[in-house]
Amino acid sequence: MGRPEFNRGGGGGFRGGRGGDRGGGRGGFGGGRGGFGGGDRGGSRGGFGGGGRGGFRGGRGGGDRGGFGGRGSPRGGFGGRGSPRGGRGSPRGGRGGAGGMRGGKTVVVEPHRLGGVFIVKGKEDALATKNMVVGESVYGEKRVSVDDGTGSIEYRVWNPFRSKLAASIMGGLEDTHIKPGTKLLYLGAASGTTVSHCSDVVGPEGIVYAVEFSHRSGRDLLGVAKKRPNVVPIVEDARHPHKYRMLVGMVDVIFSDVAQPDQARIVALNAQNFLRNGGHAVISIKANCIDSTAEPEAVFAGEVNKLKEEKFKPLEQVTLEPYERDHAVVVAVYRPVKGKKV
Amino acid sequence: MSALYYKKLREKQNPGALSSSDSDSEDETPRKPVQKPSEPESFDDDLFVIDRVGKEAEEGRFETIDLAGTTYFEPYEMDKDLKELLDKAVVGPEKEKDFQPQARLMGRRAAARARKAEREKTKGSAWFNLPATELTDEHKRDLEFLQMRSTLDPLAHYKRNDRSVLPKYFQVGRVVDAPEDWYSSRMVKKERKKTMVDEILHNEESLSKAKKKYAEIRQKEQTKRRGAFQRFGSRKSHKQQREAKMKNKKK
Repeated sequence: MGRPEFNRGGGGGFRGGRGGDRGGGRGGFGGGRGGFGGGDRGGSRGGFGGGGRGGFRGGRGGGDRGGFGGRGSPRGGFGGRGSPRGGRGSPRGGRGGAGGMRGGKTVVVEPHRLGGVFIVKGKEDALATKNMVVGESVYGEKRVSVDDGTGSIEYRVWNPFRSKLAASIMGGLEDTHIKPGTKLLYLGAASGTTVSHCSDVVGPEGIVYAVEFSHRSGRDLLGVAKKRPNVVPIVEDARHPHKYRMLVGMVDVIFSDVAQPDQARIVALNAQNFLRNGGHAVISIKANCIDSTAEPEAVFAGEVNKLKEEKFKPLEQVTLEPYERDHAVVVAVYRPVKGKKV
Repeated sequence: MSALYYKKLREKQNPGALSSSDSDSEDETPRKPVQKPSEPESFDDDLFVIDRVGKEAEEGRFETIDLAGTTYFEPYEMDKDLKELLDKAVVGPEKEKDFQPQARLMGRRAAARARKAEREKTKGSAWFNLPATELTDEHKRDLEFLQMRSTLDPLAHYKRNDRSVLPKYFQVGRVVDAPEDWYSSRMVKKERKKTMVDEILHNEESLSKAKKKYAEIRQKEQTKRRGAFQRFGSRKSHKQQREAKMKNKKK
């Protein structure tokens, strides 16, 4: 039948092959996240697609996520050399062999419900964005190249374990309001991993103002911005928007991932300065950073109330449960224009 | 002075001066009136003096002559029939302002249909014009494979398919392998195939699984086949099967 492996190995051969697969497959997207749910096929199963979530159970523990302390500490926990690989303190460099996303696999790219976002379908599903800088991988993520004869098109896989925006999309956020052409103010840009995907989503007509306080991760951010014409890196404190008011124009959306106790205030300050009426704020709230003793739900509700006082009207809220613990993403509209759809 | 002279001369020859001067300019009317609105002012400063003395000038109408020597009255009053005709004309004064003449080559509906067809070629600018790729046999098989992938791996949980038909907008790509990839995260040359279906067909794991499944189905079919009763006895219900199993265990 022209399948030499089949004849050679017999039953035993299969098992052997399987074992080999297993080792690599386990990483899935989580990278070094302390192994997946145990089953030998956990890795290849996990992946994206909604159902896959079960596979991640139990895998998220472990102190190896590290580097998530205060705002000052760069989130990536990158190696000293600023290697573009390591994720959140993943010991293996954030690149576990993704079972269904092995180099050389054929996959199908389909549009996601949200503008500017795509789904890569293979044995597993993955979110992806269209790469602005073809041939470049920002943080060691997988790329999918499409050859349609007109020139190379590339998509970058977007890992919900490393990006809260991707996690919220996976969690079923109705609308992120970030789409091609959007002007986005990104507070808490860190090393620019999510910023790079945002830059892909808004495309050449949009712009991303990426604010990050830490110089250490600001340096990585500069590296991202160097190659992307629509990213404006700003290494400043988001609490003082007047310091960068000359750089930032009116924006449509503010995305905030600052993980600070006074996050609502920070967002409100920036909204007063830059957000247009009827613009949106997408805020990722980490319950632990605001009040580590209270119930997460209470913390989220408290933050939403604070936003309401600042002329925000909350639209929706999702928890990032399988991907992040005690996190929520809240979408709110700023000074909604009467009679206009928000 | 000369204009007046010519006019009088003509009046002598032809009593219906007004109509004659109109008919004179009739052959070039479509072009002439275009220049009219801006001209009277500039004519005042012109080298060529216009005689405005005369009966018509008192009534607010005066005769004028252009460089070509054509005489006509001003403000220009067009012949009624001619005006009627010109109103219907496609090539009018506005035509010259239209730098890009847009002739409608097809009807409104046909144009709308064409626009729609053009629009449907891609998913739209919100997805950076993701094209509607031609559905070749290979692509079709790949997409069908994606729809049925849950059968391949019974342990995997996939989201329910969000549509029953094959997607219209898609692209087929290949995961780029990076030099820092470990062996486990890249395929060897032998494993690389043109389509997803080929990859599956050359994967021994999936093949063995398919074989097993096939045998299972065949066995099940055997009990349903004609004459199965003679060979295997009556089909047992699940309960009976379970009980039989328990009995065997006890033994």
